[in-house]
Amino acid sequence: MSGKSIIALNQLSFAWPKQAKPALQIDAFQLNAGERLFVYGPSGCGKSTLLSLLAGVVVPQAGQVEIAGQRIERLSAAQRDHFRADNIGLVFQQFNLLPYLNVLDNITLACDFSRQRAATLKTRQVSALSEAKRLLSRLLLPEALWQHSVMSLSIGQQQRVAVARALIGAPPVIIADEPTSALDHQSRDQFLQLLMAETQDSGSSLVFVSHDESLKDHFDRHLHLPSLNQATVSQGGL
Amino acid sequence: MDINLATLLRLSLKSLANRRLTVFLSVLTIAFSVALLLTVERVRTEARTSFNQTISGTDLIVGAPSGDIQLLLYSVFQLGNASANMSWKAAQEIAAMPEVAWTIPLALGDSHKGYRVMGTEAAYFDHYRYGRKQPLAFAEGERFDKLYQAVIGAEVAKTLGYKIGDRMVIAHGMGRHSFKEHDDKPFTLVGILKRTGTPVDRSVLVSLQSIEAIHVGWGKPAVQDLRARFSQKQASGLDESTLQPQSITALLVGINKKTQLFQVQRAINEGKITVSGKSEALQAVLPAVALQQVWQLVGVAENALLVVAGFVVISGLVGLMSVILTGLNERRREIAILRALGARPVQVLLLLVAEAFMLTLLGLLCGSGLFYLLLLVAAPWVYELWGIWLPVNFFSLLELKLLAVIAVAGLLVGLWPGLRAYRISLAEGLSVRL
Repeated sequence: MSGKSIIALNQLSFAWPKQAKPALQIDAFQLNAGERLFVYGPSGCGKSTLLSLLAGVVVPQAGQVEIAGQRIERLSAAQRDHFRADNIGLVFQQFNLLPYLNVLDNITLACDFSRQRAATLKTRQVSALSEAKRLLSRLLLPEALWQHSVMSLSIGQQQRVAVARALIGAPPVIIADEPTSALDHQSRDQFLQLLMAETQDSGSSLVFVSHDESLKDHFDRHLHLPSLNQATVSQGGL
Repeated sequence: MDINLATLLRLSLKSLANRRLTVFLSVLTIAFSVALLLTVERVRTEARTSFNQTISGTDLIVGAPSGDIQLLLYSVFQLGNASANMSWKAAQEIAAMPEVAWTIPLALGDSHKGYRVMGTEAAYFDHYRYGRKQPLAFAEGERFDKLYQAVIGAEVAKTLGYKIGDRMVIAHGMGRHSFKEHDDKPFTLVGILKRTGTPVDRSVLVSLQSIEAIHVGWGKPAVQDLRARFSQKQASGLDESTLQPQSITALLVGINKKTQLFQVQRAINEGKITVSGKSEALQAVLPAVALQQVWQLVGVAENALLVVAGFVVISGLVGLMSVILTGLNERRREIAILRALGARPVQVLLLLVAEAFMLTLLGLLCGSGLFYLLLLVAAPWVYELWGIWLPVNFFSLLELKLLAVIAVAGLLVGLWPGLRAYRISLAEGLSVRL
């Protein structure tokens, strides 16, 4: 698994619109397939900017962003949205789920938006629904809740549903943006263990962003973003 | 490349179902406004149709000079009163013109329980046409042929519950409770007409001689009157030939050849009709032309009503837009989630447009339902009041066009919130934190 580059940044420079100075400048960075990366640093050091770049929501003014062999800064906006649906599973800090869908529908929605994820499941001869159920039971979410509205779930349970949605169809990259910050200590450890196990199981690489350095030990690689980011003035962390 | 529209529609529907209370209220607003618009439009067109169908086949209406519209309204639509009469002799002169095929004299001014009594001749049943040149038909009984016999319209029969052979008393003047009742001269009901959907339904028809007979002894106590009253005491000893009317209210005229129409009209209007050597001032109007004048007059009010109804619909749609816009702030998270899953900004826009469109369609559907309900409930009442029958038909072309315009407006209503959502999804990307 190791050695194959899954994320590669090169001579990258990005500034948010109407900002004179760049929010992020990175000479070179590489993440290999299956690696689990912990990105940390204080607020405003460019973490959110980095995630937006990796997710293809924005493109750098200069330099390259290569994900799963695709130079995404060369793609059109629509192509990047499509690429994101196929290749990147995202987990946010909180409120990851659509309140008007039940637990299972929230997860299978990822396959509705991505033909590639649906195709991956098809080659494995499983339906989106059965895969969603498998992931939920692996993530220890009680079966009684599967048909429920996501609003009736605790935050810890909601975050696990979000992980299941990110993982369904095994996209090459999982990006988690402070997914544990709303959890208490106990559920945070359990959440992390499940996340690690499941990303390993699906063979996805993980980029995990947090300001909480105590989580560091769960990961193979650590990235102190301020050390890598050459943009001197910290800004843009919306 | 594109994710399917079905997914978006499904999401939109579920999202709407999740906000059903606010959604219900905005749909209700639209439904009410649509029902109002449809009702105004339907009443407007049906009033026109009803008026246009009241008289057909009549080429000229002749009466004492007043105004084109006034003559038409009081002689055919039973609206308003005649200011003056025309002489019976003049009517006979006109009937004798070689170009004239037939005439129907009309003598108005009496009533029975609020319904107008119309003195006329048997020619009325032969030549009067309504709708698509349909003749009058009897539901029961037959036409009058003697004094003190009456034929009533379908509405009169229905409301008063009269049967053939019933006796009725005719009052002088209009109004349900007239003080002057000709109750010494009761009429016998001999015929009930089939429903026509015109003012005929609300008429009581008697012969001119009957009208004359009940008025003998009314007015100035002339020697002639006293004599007539005396003779009247001897029961039905009244001779029809002695009861020729002095004057009538109006005369409906049929012309032999349409090419002679204007010639006859001009002759009448220019005072060529002479009674005992003196020319009589008369007015002849073409029903269609007079109706056109009515529409020109009424058109302003009609359009004003339509415009008001249109504004109510617009306010309903603006209300919908504000509901969607207000909800947008709370749905920034939803937009970010959809973006994270790979939804394009255009699709986010589409989601909101679809939402507005579906709500508008729902409003149109409910509004149409409400409209038909209203029609069913109000139709008999409107008929009773104005004699306008509102048929429960499918939408007319114009109504369908109005509905289509509202549907398109619904799409546009979604466009503004949609564009805002589009900008939000571009500017904020995935980084919304609540």
